[in-house]
Amino acid sequence: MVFNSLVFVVFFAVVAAFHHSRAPWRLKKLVLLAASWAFYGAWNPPFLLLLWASTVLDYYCALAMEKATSPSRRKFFIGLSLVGNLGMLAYFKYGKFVVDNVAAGLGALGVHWTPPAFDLALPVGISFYTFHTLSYTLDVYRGELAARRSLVDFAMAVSFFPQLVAGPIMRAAAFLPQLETEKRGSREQWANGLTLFVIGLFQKMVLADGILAPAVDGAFVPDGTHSFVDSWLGTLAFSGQIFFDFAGYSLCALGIARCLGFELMDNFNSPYGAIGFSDFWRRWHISLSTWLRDYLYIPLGGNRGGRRRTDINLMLTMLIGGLWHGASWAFVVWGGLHGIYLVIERWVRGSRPTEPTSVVTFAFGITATYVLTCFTWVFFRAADFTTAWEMVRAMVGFGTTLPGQTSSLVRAAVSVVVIVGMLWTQVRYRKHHLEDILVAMSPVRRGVMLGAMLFTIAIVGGGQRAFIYFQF
Amino acid sequence: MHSSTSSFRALPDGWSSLLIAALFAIAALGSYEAFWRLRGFRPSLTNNEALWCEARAKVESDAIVLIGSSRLQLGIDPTLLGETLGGKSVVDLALEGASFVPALDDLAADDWFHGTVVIEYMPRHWFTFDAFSRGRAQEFLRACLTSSLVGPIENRLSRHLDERLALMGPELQLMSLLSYVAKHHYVPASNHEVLRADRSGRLHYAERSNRSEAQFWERSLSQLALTERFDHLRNDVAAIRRRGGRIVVYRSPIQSTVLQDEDQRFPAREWLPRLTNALPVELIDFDAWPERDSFQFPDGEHPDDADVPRLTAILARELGRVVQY
Repeated sequence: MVFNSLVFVVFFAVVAAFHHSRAPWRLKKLVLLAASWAFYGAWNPPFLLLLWASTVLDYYCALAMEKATSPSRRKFFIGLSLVGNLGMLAYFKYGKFVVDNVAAGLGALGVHWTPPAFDLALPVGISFYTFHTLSYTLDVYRGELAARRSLVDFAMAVSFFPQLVAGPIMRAAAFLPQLETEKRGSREQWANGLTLFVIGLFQKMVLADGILAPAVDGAFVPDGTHSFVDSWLGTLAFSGQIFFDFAGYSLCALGIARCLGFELMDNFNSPYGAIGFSDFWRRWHISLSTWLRDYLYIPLGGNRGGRRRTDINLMLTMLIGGLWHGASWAFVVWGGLHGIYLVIERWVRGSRPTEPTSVVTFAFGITATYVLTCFTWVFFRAADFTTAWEMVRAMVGFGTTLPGQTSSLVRAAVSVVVIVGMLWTQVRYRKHHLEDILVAMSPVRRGVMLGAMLFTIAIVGGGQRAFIYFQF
Repeated sequence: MHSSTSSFRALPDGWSSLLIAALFAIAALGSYEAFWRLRGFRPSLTNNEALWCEARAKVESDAIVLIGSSRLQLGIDPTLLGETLGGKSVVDLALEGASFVPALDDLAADDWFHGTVVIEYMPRHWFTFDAFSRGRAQEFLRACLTSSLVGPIENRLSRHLDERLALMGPELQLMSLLSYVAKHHYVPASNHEVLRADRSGRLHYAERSNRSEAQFWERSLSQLALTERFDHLRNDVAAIRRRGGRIVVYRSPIQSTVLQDEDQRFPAREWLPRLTNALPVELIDFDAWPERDSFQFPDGEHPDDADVPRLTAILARELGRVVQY
């Protein structure tokens, strides 16, 4: 089930009605849990078994770790949790990738091996809920969180439907305390939540799907001819599409959770207003970047082992972060490029201040960060390496000179307007909070803006595309 | 600007602004709907995967299934065809801009199906590489296989809106409308195409157009590739015929530039016999009809709404003749 569907409106109305009834909190939690499973099962019911397996495994591993008297037993149970969750992820997400690469590697050595058919559907959101649940066992292992006695509470923390399939990757430590007291959305929370939901839907349905997606699809045609203009337009459009798609989803998730009385964490903060890549990763997919920082980069040693060790840790973290997105070398390249950018930035920046001191360095910092980020998006979006390489070649002037095949002039013009608007807004409000801006608006102005968004959502069309991050 | 937040801040007069938003949206949508209705627009479904999958699911074991592209989808009324043939179930799986091959493969692989398949004859789908049209058809077929559990419910809910509101129609979607205005410098007067729940489309022409098919043609198949294509189709046809099914190839009326283009590259007198010699199919060819010159297709290949019932009646008559219903 996706947020941008009529079925979801009906589903949410029923869930919210029960959630705000006089039923006891324990029953409400059970119903919310069942609703979350129904939300997930609507895609492919058998995959619920994986979600349940992951939940039960980590519930018992955490309890066992807490009871364990020796460090070796604690290590055994955290190992079990890691092997169980990452093993499941590896099998379903990376199995085919590994098998194909082994076959290719053997082929390069002259050994011809035809791998067995490995045609598994990827369970929606498996990367997200695996990270949700691992944050719990890792925190319990470190002694930073007490194991939960209530399986229902823990299952809710893993499966809560607004954040189940595409985040934000909520830490159990941040979500579990919210289940201790009864939650229901106040009038203010409802108003706030619905406002965010409308803005999120507008970002997703109008900007990402209605306007930018067709320009992107036209440019990233495999085996197509790629011109300089088309490649740049397609790549810039994708920078907007992926942002509005994912940030829109996050806003919807936040708004829905808020209507039910829950709070989720920040996921985006004007990423294209970033100056430098460490700044970018503090603003893009924040719940993932902080997860990787806390559970991978810092345990690897962070920046405590000298310059070379820090660079290696950064590269490893970004490569794994890239691979987290999908089982393909293109994602590894995407993560690798970001790793290289971060390493170079550390060398160049040294001890200089983070914020530029002149308009020129400010403009240069933002532009350079955005343009270099766009080059990485090519690998993220292209269907294969050949297409990505052709696009990059075209972007640096080695493409075909054929005129635009991507889209009509109107589509291109509207896409450019949206991209420029996005960049202007993110640079202009890079230090502002969305809610501060909404609070500062007069109710009439805010109402007209939301009304115009609803109107555009209704007339934009563009079909019902799934959120891009569902595939991860 | 944070686009999401962990700290909740109350919006002053949050409900007032939501009320204003709702009123604004209702007024804007009402005016928009009224404007287009007054210009002559009527509600139309969208020719999307959901509607196609719904039709695919309705294929009964002995149904008559229409497959091909726009000439069938926009030229024949399946409901009327079924009624004319004495209540036979007719399902329209033809799809604008798509090849018939994936749908035929699908029907051939469906052991349950033993009905009649009417395949549109359009030379580029039979004798050229035609990767784009095949890809489009395959996308639709794939969508049926990957549809979520709630997909059919969503389709039914959205259909209620599509059937009632002109503004939900594909021609009034924002980007289509902007493209139209940019091209013609005026807003459209009424729907060019209305798609109904049985997936048949009705065209309403504002003017004649000198449409050329040649721009869509991909490279011709080599002799070897053509032999492979026929082998592939022969297997499909044989599978359906083994179960008692029938295959009819239907060459619908075409005129002017479209006819010239096709006859120049794939002359019917040469290529139709090649097809019927290679495959055990029945043929309905408009060239043999007494009414062949009585149609006027504004774009050379798709009939105007007013001509669809007559064309459907002729197809019913011809089907009755070749399949003996």
